Amino acid sequence: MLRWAGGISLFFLVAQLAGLRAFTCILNGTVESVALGWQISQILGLAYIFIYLAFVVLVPVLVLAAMLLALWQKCRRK
Amino acid sequence: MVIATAVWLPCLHFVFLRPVNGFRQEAGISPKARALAAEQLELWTDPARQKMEVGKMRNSNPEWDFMGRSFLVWSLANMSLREPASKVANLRVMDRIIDETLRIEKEQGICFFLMSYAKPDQYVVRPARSLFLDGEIGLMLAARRMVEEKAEYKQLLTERVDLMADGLHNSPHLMLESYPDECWTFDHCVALDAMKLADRLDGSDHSALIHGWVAMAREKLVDPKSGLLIASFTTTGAPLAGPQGSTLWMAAHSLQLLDEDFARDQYERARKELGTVTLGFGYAHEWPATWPGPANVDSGPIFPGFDISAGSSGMAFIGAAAFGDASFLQSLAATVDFAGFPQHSRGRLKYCASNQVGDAALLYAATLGPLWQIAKTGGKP
Repeated sequence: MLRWAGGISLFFLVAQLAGLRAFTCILNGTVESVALGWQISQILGLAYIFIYLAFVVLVPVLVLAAMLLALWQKCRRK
Repeated sequence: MVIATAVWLPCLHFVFLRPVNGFRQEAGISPKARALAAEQLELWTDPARQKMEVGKMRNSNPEWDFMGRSFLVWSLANMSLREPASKVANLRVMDRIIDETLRIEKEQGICFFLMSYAKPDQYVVRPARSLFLDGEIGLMLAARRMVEEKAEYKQLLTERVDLMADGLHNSPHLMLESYPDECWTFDHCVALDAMKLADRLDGSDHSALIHGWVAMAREKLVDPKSGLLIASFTTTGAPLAGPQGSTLWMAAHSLQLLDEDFARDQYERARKELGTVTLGFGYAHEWPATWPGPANVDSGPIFPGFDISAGSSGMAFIGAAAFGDASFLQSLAATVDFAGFPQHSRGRLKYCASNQVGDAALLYAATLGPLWQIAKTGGKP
């Protein structure tokens, strides 16, 4: 689970550094880059939203779950 | 995983929850308002960026280009009253926006800022005028003059106010069009606000007209089920669209200048029917349960499941700020920081999921107050 959390965090970092956040303007019906066109902008915007949600919602859940699991296993061993 | 999810989801909003005075302060200018304003001012001093941003919005809706101007001018007026040291720089941008807007209106006609179904030859009252444009331009001119008198805007405001007042007097139902045979509550409220400020500035008296319109609205424009004002209607008062969050929150704020009790009643009803907080995140529906409607250009995308309207949620900031609903405002601010994708750069702030008009409306929510206060109390502009 921690490996998954790390992987998602890495993806998010890459998306953030690549400036994909700006493409979330697809949510208001506009495109960030006219040169890239609506379709590519939409894909990049949706990809960022997906990775962002995974980072803020899924990563903490995975970390928490890993901690709870470790705690459970420790209790069982005792 | 289930337990971890059950623990994390109710806690998620704490990551984005900030003290409400980070967004809006009773006195002075909040850090967020300052950063939003810096981005907006940068746009208006960089023609290439402005052209690009406005171009993106106009591709979706030319109204946004116009409303982005209005919200920014009204915000800068409030900021100038909050912080007189910013007045000179703000007035420069306000004048530029007003002058350019008036020039475009004169050169291109009313349709430039309207959606494509606005055909001048289809208006019931001709020559065609749009109360959407007249009201907001009137309020821009009045707001600017409330900050500091500008002689050449006095006549322009008087002419605009006279046109709207004459139009309402000549209308059998006190209803003026924004689009062909399509009238909007929002536009009437803003137009009457402009008249109220003109009365304050120039000693005219439109109080009878204002009281008459509010009485008519209470009688004919209120949905009996929800008690909320409907959004749009024909020139004979037949409803076109029911209560609509994307216009109602601003209408309630506008009504504060016209009838304080009615305004508060509308806000409280809107808060109950449209405003929601889930897991600490505030948002708003576009339509009340009693009068459902589709997603449209005003509502923005409606996210299924929670029935979240981007347009209504953005405008809910204005309602919550205007009526001092700090807890709702704080939860709305948490949502926009979570799902609006803020981007900070050198003291400037923009929300990537928003656009210039959306950010200008947020700026207005963060700064509104002084203009209405002076108009109501009769203090010195």
